[in-house]
Parts: sequence; C-alpha cells; structure tokens
Amino acid sequence: MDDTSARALRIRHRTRYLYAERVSQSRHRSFLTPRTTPRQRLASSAVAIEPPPDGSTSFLDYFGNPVTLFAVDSPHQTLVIEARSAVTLGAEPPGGAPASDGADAVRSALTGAESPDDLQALEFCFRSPHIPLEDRLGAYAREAFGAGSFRSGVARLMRRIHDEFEYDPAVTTVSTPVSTVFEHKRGVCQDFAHVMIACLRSAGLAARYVSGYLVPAPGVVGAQASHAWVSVYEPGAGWIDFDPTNDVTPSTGHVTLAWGRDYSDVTPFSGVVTGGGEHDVSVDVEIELERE
Amino acid sequence: MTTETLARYRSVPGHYDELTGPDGTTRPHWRPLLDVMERLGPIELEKRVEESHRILKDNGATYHIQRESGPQRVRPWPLDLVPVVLDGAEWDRLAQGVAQRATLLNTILADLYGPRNLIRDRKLPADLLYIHPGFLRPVSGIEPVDGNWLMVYGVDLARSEDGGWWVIGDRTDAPAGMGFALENRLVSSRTLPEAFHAGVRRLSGFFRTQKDTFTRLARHHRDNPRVVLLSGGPDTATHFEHAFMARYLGCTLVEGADLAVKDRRVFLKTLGGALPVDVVWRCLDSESCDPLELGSDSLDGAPGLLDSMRAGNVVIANAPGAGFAESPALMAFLPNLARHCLGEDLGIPSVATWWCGQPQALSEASERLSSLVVKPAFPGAGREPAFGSALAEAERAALRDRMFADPRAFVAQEQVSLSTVPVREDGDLAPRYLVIRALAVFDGQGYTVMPGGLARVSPDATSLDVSVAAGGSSKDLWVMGESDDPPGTLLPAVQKPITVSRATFDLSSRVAGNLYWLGRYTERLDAAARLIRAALPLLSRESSTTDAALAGALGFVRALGYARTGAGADPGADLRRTLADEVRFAVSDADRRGGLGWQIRQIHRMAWLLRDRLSADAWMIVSELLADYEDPAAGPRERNLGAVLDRIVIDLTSFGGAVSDTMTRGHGWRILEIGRRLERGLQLGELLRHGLVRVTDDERARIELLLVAADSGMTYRSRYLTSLQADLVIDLLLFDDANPRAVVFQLERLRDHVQSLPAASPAERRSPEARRLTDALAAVELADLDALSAAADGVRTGLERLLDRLNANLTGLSEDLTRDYLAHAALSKQ
Repeated sequence: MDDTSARALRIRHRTRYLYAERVSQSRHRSFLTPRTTPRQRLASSAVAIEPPPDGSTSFLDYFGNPVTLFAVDSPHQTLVIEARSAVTLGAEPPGGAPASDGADAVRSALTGAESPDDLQALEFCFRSPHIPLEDRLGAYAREAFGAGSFRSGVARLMRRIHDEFEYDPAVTTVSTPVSTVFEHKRGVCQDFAHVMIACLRSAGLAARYVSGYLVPAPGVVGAQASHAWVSVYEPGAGWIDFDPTNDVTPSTGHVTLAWGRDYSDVTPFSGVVTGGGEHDVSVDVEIELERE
Repeated sequence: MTTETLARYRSVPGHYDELTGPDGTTRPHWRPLLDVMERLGPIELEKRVEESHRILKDNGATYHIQRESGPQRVRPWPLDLVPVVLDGAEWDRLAQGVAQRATLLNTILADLYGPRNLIRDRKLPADLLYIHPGFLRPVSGIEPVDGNWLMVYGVDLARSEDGGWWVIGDRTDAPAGMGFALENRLVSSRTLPEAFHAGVRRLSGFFRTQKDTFTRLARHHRDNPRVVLLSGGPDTATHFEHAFMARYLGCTLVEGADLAVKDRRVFLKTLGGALPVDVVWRCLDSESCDPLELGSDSLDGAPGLLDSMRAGNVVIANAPGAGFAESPALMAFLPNLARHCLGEDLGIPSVATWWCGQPQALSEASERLSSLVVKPAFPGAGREPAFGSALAEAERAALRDRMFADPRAFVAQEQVSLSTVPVREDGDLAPRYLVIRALAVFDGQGYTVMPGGLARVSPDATSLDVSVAAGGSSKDLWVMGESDDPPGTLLPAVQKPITVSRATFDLSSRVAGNLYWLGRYTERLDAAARLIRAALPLLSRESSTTDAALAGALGFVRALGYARTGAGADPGADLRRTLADEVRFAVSDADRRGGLGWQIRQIHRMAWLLRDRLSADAWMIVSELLADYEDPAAGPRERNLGAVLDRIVIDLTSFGGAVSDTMTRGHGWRILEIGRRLERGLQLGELLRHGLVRVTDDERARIELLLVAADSGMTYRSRYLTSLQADLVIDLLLFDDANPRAVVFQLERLRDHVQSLPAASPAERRSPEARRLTDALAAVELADLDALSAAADGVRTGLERLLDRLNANLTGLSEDLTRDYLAHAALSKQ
C-alpha cells in the first residue's frame, strides 16, 4: 500500500442494549476489530464495555478474523459496547488485471480446485446457514453472465440487484430467509449481500460475506450502521469486493471488519444472556476522515 | 426351555443365524447358556423373565421416544432375557477391527480440525468437508488434550449371510448405548446367574478403563478430579442411561445450566458454591454444548465451554466437532484412508458406500439403485433411508431426480442382510434381526473395546429396523471365554462394581431445586388426600350429616383448589351430590394441572430425576404410589375413593419414613425437608383460614373436618376429651410445638434447616431466609390466643392478620430460597 495515497479513518461503533429485566450474567462474541487486508491497515483498535467485563479473550477465528469473547458477571440492565478503531485504506484496487475468461472457466477452475487458493475458495461455493442454493437464484446470476469477462458479469449481477431491489429497513430482520427477500425484492445491505451470494453460489461460483463499515459520502446508503457486501473469487486474481447496496466496487469507501460464509459467521455482536427478558438494541456508527 | 423348544426354532433362509448353523445344529458357544435354560425349565424361566422386568422397573429404566409429530412417549426399556452369545476368538478379531476404526476416525478428526492435509492431498474431497454441517469451524485449530478427539466410540455391526461382519454405522459425537449395555448386563447376570458364571467376560474392567481415562485426562486435581456427565436433561431419549452411568462411574450428572464458565474455567454450581470441573463427559450433541460459539438454537449447553477447552482448562470428551465422523459419506473413503493414515486395511469392512457428491459415484449409485439403500449424507437432513428394492419404478425415478438435484446430500449403500438371533415369544423361540452396538474408550495408547455391548433386535421377523423407537427390543451380549488380548491393554476383570471415590455427590442447584419441589409436592398431595378423605364420611347416605357440615366440606374443597370450579355453592343444588361430584372429580381426574393425579405424576417425575439421590426404597415407594393410582386392576378410581386416598396417604407416610431413615443428613436432605415443612406450613395456614376465620353458628362440623384433615383429631381428643372449641384448635394447630402438625413446629424446623445452609452471601449477618423465619416465629410467639379467637362482625380478624403474615413470610421464603439456592434462570440468545 502506498501511504501517500492512503486515507486515514477513525471509527466509533457504539451498540447499546436495554433490557426489560435484570440480566444476571452474559457471555458475548464480537467481530468488532477490523482485520488487515491488502488494501486496509489497522492502526489501532479498542473495545470498551460497560459494565466492565469479567474477563475477555481475543484470537483469530477459522477465517482469520479477529474475534473477542467476553463475560459480564455483574447484574445489569444496560450493556454498552463501544469499539473504536483507526485504519488506513489504500486506493489501489486489489486482484490485478481482470481475466478475459467467462464464468464457465471460473466454475471449472473451482471444480478442479488445482491451486491451494482455488481449494480454499471452494469453501464458499455451497449452502451455509443463511445461504440456500436454488435453481432460480442460479438462473438469475447466469442471465448476468453473457459474453465478456467474469468480472464484468459479476458487476452486471450487482447492478441488476441494485436496480431491481429496493433498500427498505422496515421489511426484513436478521432471520428473514434469502428466498423471501428474493421474492419481495426489498431489504437492507445484509439482504442484498445474501441474495447476491446465494445467486453466485447457486451458479457454482465462490462468494463470501463481508462485514464492515461504509464511509459516509453523498448518495451512499447504509453508512449509519454497520454495512455488508460481497466478495467474489476469481481464480488467478483472488477475491474482489462488490457492494450491491450501492452498486460500487469497494475501495477506499469501505472498511472491512471480517468475512465468512454469511452473516452467521461474522455477526458483529452476539451473545447468550441469563435473564433480561425483552430487549431493545441501538447501534450508532461514526466515521471520521482524518486524512484524505 | 426344552430340547423340543430348541428343535422347533427355525432360522430365516438367506440370513446367518447366531444360534444354529446351516445344518440346524447349535453353535458350541451357546451350549453353556442353553444347558442352563434347559435345566431351569419353562416355568422357572418365566419367573426369571418376570424378575428381569421387575429389576428394570425398579431401576426406572426407560427410553424416551420422540417422533416427528405427536407428544413424547416414555417406553420401559425393552430387554429380551435370552442374551446374544458370541465366540471369544471371533470377538477378539472384531474388537481389533473396532479399535482400529476408532484410531482411524480419531486420526481423521485430528487432521481435519488441524492441518487438513487430507484435503490438501486429495484423500478426502474438500466439498465433503465444507458442506458437512457437523464440521464445526469454531473448533478448528483447538488442540484437545493428547490430541484426542474421540474418547468414546460406538459402532453398529451387522453380520451378512456368509458370516462376515460389516460396519453399518459409526457413532462419534456422543455415542449412546454404554449405560443400557451395563443395565442389560446387571439384569442378565442376576436373572441367569448360573449361565453367566460359565465363562462370560466381565464389563467392569472396561468401565474401570473409562474412569481411569477420565482421571488421567484431568489437567488439574489429578488425585481427585471432578468429572461431570453433561446431559441434555430428562427429556433426552437416553436420559436413563446418563443418570445410570453417572452413578456407576461416580461423576456428577449435570445439565448445561449447572455449569458456569468464569475466567475460561468451568465450574459446577452447587449449593455450597462453585466447584471446578476438570472433565466434561459430553452426552449432548456438539452443536448444543456451547450456545455462544457452536451456533445451534439450543440453549441446553453452557456458554463459554468451548473457550475453556481452547484455554486448555477443561477436557471435553468427546471433543466438540467429533460428530463429523458419523457421516455415512465418510465411509466411502475409509478403505483408502485406512491405508493412507495407518498403512493397514480395515479390519472390519464398511458396507460398500457411494457418496453421490462425486460424479462417478452418483452415476454408479443411480444405475444400481434397485439394490441399494439411499440415505441422507448428513445428520439433520430429516429423511428416512429409502430402500431401492422396495420402491416402485416411478418412486425410484423420483428419488433419482432428488439425488441429481442435490447429489452431495445423498449416500447410497449396499444393503447388509442382518443375521438372526432367537428371542422368547409365547414360551417359544422366534428369530429376530440383530445389530450390535460395540463400544470403545481411549485407554492411553489405543482403544479398549467393551467385551460385550448393546444388542438390538427387530420387532418382528420381517422388519429390519432394530431401533427401540420402531418397537425393537434389546439383549445383553455375552462374549465367551478368556480374552487373548495381550496383557496391559485390558485391565484385569474386577468382581465388584467400581467404588465411588467421592464421599458425597456434589449437590447442584438444579438437583437441589428438584429435591425442594419433591418435598413440596409430597406434602401438598398429603394435605389434599387427607382433606378429601376427611370429607368422605359425610357422603354416606346413612350418616346424619347436616347441611352445615356438607357446606363446610365443600367450602374447604373449593377454597383449596381441588374442585372443578371455584364458584360458590349453588343454593338450590343438593349439597351431598355436589360434594360427591367434586370429590370424585378431584380424585379421579388424572390430567388437570394441580389435581391429585397430576401431583402424583409430578412427584414421580421429580423422584425419577433424583433416582441417584434417593434410596432404592424411597424410589420404589414413589413407583408404587403412581402404580397404585394408575392400577387398572383396582377398578375405576371413582368407585374406590376411600381406598385410593388411603393408599396415597400410606405411600406418602412410607416415603417420609424412608427419607428420614435412609437419607444422609446433608444439604440434599435439608432441602427436601425445607420443601416439606414449608408446604405443610402453607397448607395448615390455608386450613386454618378456611376453617376458622369466619365465625358461624354451625362451625363445629367445619372444625371437626379441619382437625381430621390436619391429622390432629386424635391429639385434640386425647387432650380435651370432647368439647370442640375454636381457641383450643387454634392453640393445637398454631402454637403447640409438640404437635408435628402445628405451624410453629414447621417454622422451628425451617429455622434450623435454613441456618445450616451455606451462606449465599457471606457479607450479610443474617440471610433473608433467616429473617423471614424470625419474623414468622415472632408473630406466632407474640400472638395472644384470646385475641386470635375473638371475633368481630363474624370475622376473627386477629387470626386472619396472623395467617396473612405467616403466608407472606413462607411465600417470601420460597422466593428467597429459589433465588439464592435453587435458581435456574433461563438463557436467551441474541
């Protein structure tokens, strides 16, 4: 990464839980520390929790994402998690020059899985907890792959989803199935990402879910909370990001937290609590541009 | 059994028979058993069968069956008296194959959760790993103690027509069967001791090995490690086995909520505080054991358990994720993997298996569909196996379509023709199909195989489904003759059962809760039975019962919640008939929540959960209580109200006696006693309230009923001869500290018990529980009998206020106890 062209950002991600009843203890898992990627460098990261946790542990998960587990043993009715991090983003797009091969060549490279990278990418070709494989989803993807390169085909699929689906925070929850979203063509960034992944995988291609943040800019959708998009594998080039919510190829406008097969692998914040009853959650993300 | 019985036995053509050879002669290793059965004769054998049923019932041996729809059913554990007998030399070869397979599967698991060389080197298809729902990514990279993923292994074996054995299924996640095998052995060795002592190999050495393994695995407290058996709770199919094994091996039976993870260490929550846990014997599926990281919706496990293993602070056996190796899809690759990983051929062949995720395998399976069984490749797919031979051409075509649509989800296997074995049927012997569950444990170097196992047989001679859920039965498996295993791998057989090394079992908060409610339910039932029994004489047409007495009894039955409705008496109704209806309903309706039948079942359930805490006698009395109530031979309950109630009262009195005579005076006994005393105090308060608070001219009959219901009629008469006076009754039932049925007696016992409980919060000088009792006792001591007995406007307000205060204290005490000692707050996921 060339530091002179780098963009420095400060992120503050605040999650607040309000419980109807007292929680006597809780255990949590968080993916709130941005991972290091070819275009992203982590300058600093800290997660503060109130009430203060009774022990926490951090390690890299199966996919190489930084993950933190923590426990709160003091009774509480409000839990606040505040993650602050500073990253620098390089403008240079990853992955090298696009191959001229089409989707069929990509599919057969994955099936053969001759290089170690291809073999690893194969993991992202199948169904996973939030991703079904369906013929109609595969057909939807294939319609975007006409003549031309694989990458331009993925871009067409992204554009089609962006054009045909409506961003609507009121209709879906984290558990709305992809097939429902696909039928109603409405949802949030997480749904857009899941739909695009399901279409690509149903067409025999490798796609993973990326959790992160969107740097606010005129016209971008989804910057007030955590964001999600898609990464697609192209043999020889590697993983290339696509954001179907905004119809852009992420570069210096997207901060990567973690990736996995789908949302369930990298849920920013989850947990198991004793007591608590009903709860309300509010999320607030602020991104500050430190240096352009 | 006679020689003729044996001669009449016919095996099934086309199947190997375990008892008789192709020429009809008996195989020699069955001889010792057959000799004994012939000598005993049919009548004695029948007695032995009954004996075996009695032992199973006394032990509470059951199997829970959950079909996809409909309620859960509890089946008595089915056991056929005639064991399966196998030749020792043949068994040794088989055992070697089982141990080899366990070693192989362990090696595969260690690789897949570690470096994944098998994937890189293409020994196993990458997509099989990636698509397998049992491949638990959060486990990957964790190194279990000694690199051991598989501590306990189960494998289903079947014998084909030519006499060869085949593996038809692997159990690597939380293998069941060990406890049922042991239970079957205890029954068969007691019912057929003469034959058993003629050279059957013992199981105790195997269990000793398992116990030693758990002890050795413990990182800390090696001298006396705490091993817990993690169960999914009483509604799990094999909960009987969990309770039984926990008791036999001397480990504590726990559910997820009994465990707490703190600072990456696992603790057992007990009445006396949190105790460190060294080894978790996981009898709960991998996905459920840690709801924080392992992703299932189940909340049965303990959040943080996996991280404690990651930190090396606890051993989980089997390691979470071990269920990966159960997939029948893996079987297709085992012959090659055995050569690659071990440099050996499989000792016991797997049935020929095609994982349809490979194009070549899919087309082969599709071509041979009519001779294959098609199964889901992974658990949870929710489809029954399809037998190609049993399908019509159109159904086969539909199956083929499904296979081609999602080939990775399917496995096709050759069908093994199961061997047959005789079961007793109407005094004769009839053939049934046999599958053996062999079991192995890691012994430090390799795997020790149980010299026996769980034999399961089909429900009839046509079905090949041997599952208990499908109506199959089980048998003990006898391996004859000395072992020729090299010394050192098998410990010497021990004659007596393993002794428990802990003086007392740890009393978890959950068990304490069960004991508390057992105490409360028994006392509540006692109060109900006595009250209704006291009302029965009023129903007799012969008696000169007054309307006042009938109305009084009806008032009690209604006020205490035993009646159909809480509505007041219909002035026009015949009081005698109404009371009779209500009483009949209260006793005979077995289903209404809170009714007598319901209470009896709650007591039975609690006692069943507490089998390992109660003496065998106490457990048997509770079994009798339920059997007496449900006994169809006793005729309709409504016709024998008196007899039914008498038996309930007598059974409960025996239960109280058994508890006080046999239970160690530990925290467990104390909690049970607290439950009883607290409930009795509450019940007495209610009786006094409905008997005495309202003053009427005709209260005499009501007071009489009150005295009988409170079991204090005799005491009263011995003191005061005849006259019934409210103040004397109040004195006897509230203040008389010599009367075990007086309120003050309960309060004093409660105070003693509560003071002996470990402090829930050491900072407080006096616990909230103790403060409640101080207040209640002060109220009783300061009360003035005359003031209590005096009435204004027809109400004894002084008495009412005192009863309110006592009730508030006792109800509050129950809440405090629940919070401080018995709490089992529910988890929720977000």
